[in-house]
Amino acid sequence: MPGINFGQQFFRISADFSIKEKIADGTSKLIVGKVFYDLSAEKIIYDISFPEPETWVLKDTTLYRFQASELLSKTSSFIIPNSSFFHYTLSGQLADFGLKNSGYTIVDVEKKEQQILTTWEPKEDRVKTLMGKVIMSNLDKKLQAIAFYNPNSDLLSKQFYKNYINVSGCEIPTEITQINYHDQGQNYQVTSYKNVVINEKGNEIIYDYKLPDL
Amino acid sequence: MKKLIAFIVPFLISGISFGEEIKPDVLDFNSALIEAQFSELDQLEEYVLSNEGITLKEVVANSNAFDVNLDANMLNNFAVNAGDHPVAGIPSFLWGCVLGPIGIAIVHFDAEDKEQTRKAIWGCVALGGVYALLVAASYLFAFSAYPF
Repeated sequence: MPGINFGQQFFRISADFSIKEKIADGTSKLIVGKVFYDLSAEKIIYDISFPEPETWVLKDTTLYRFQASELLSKTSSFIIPNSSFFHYTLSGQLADFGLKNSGYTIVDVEKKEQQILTTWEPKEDRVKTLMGKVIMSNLDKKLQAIAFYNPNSDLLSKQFYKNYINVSGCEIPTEITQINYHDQGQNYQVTSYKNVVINEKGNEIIYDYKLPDL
Repeated sequence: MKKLIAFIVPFLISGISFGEEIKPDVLDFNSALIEAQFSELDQLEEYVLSNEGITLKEVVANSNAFDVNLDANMLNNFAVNAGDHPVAGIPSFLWGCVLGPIGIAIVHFDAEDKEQTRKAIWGCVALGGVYALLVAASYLFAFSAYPF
């Protein structure tokens, strides 16, 4: 199990979050709430308070949307809980963004001031037709930034991981800035985490949120 | 492979084209640029966090205080939905349109998704509308052909 921190096992995370987004068309978004993730349940639970009280549960590739415990909708989502920021953080894979276990291989490593810059490429030829290089920078084995390219070496997206805190031995970035490049321009998103709790005991009802068809 | 797909799909479905090529400073953080983008949203965030339980409607009612063009459907793309869950791959509108109330029932119980059920209902309404138009047209045709 590469990347797992055997010194200390982390299995749960919860935090207050806010997501701010500035879209290229000039509109903005703000979403505020609390997020919960349990490694074994593999469900991400967003208990949203703003813009409207709702609970969102991500399980496998499905997003369940609840309002006052009533299921509003069930839709597909590309976010897979065991490939999420929360999973990587708890399992000690955030340093390489899980790339090592996702069909990527290192093709170049260099040092820039104190940071280590690593360039990754997809291993499989058929994946190379869809995705290009990934460049990441690490400082003290902590992920600082990552950039994704297409096969033509055009930039798709880049993310910056800042303001790391140590909670019960688990290193967590509390501010993530993402820039996505579109035809229409660039979208900016900043996600912030506060009041991070690791390995909370109890509260099973929320961490293993009961879904209607499980 | 599932994890690899998780990387690829977001880029494919978001219709991304591209802005920059690989540059040595690609991972340099431009804090001034980011701060400029979020100065108004930061104020709104502070207001929301200090007024627990406040909703979008209440913020909009007080919109003069914030110079922010808020997206009214901001939750819709939160997790970037890859698509609907139409029953058997057939659009819910068609279920309602072709099978009427039976189609609505099939969508309601299979998809467990209010949005899909709503689409099926609109399909059924469209079917009813077309049927009503046909009946009206046939009466008009019959009466216009009748020698009064």
